[in-house]
Amino acid sequence: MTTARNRDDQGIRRITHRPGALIAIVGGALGGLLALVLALANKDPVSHCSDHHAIGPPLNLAFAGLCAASFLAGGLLSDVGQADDAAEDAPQSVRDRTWLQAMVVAVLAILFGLLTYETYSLVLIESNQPSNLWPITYFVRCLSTITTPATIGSLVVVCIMCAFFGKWLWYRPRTLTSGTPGT
Amino acid sequence: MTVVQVGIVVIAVLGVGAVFAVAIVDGVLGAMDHLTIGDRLVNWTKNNPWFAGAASFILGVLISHFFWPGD
Repeated sequence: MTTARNRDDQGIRRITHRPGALIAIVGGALGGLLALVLALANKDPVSHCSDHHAIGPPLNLAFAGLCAASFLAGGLLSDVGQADDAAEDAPQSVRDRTWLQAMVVAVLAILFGLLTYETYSLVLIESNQPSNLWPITYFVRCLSTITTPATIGSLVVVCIMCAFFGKWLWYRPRTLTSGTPGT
Repeated sequence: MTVVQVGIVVIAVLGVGAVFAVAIVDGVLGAMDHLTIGDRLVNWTKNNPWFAGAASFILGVLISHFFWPGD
């Protein structure tokens, strides 16, 4: 019992001593929870979303501007407190590389599946065939325009996502601040 | 539950939830001093900058398409 509690305390201390890890956990949990609440909150989305219009001006500018700012912030802030490149260039094991490649393939496969669905549903709409299938764009637009809290929630979710994309996908070579490489 | 509601939940879980799940796993791995998914991705980005640039561009286009008026 005491050992388990000590282990929990150690885990919490580790997380609180690493602001980056804490931000990732809190941001991930908050964004995931918000996305789920937004998805489940409205009982009758069809009657509210018949025109499939996106958010109009000036809020669309806020979405574009804040998404770009979040991407930049995610990329720039992840450098704070980081060491130089030489210190980070630890060799990757074959297992790690395989694991990463498998993950990239899985993500690309999911994207391929979603885009195939988007294309299929758009073809049905363009050919005026009766269908219950909405393109992904309609789902996102419906969710983000259904109520004012949903619009604000969507903005928060998409900004958190952009910040993570900026952290993961925007690499810039770091300049040495510690004198000699690898120190 | 209608088809539309199911679709919204699937997109929330697959498209959006997956990103946040990865972020939580990233944070936990970082706290445990393990190599995080983010570290692995940054290494991959470093080795494939054009691929990462293209991925960022596509994500930007998708987000603009979703939230900007137009077809």
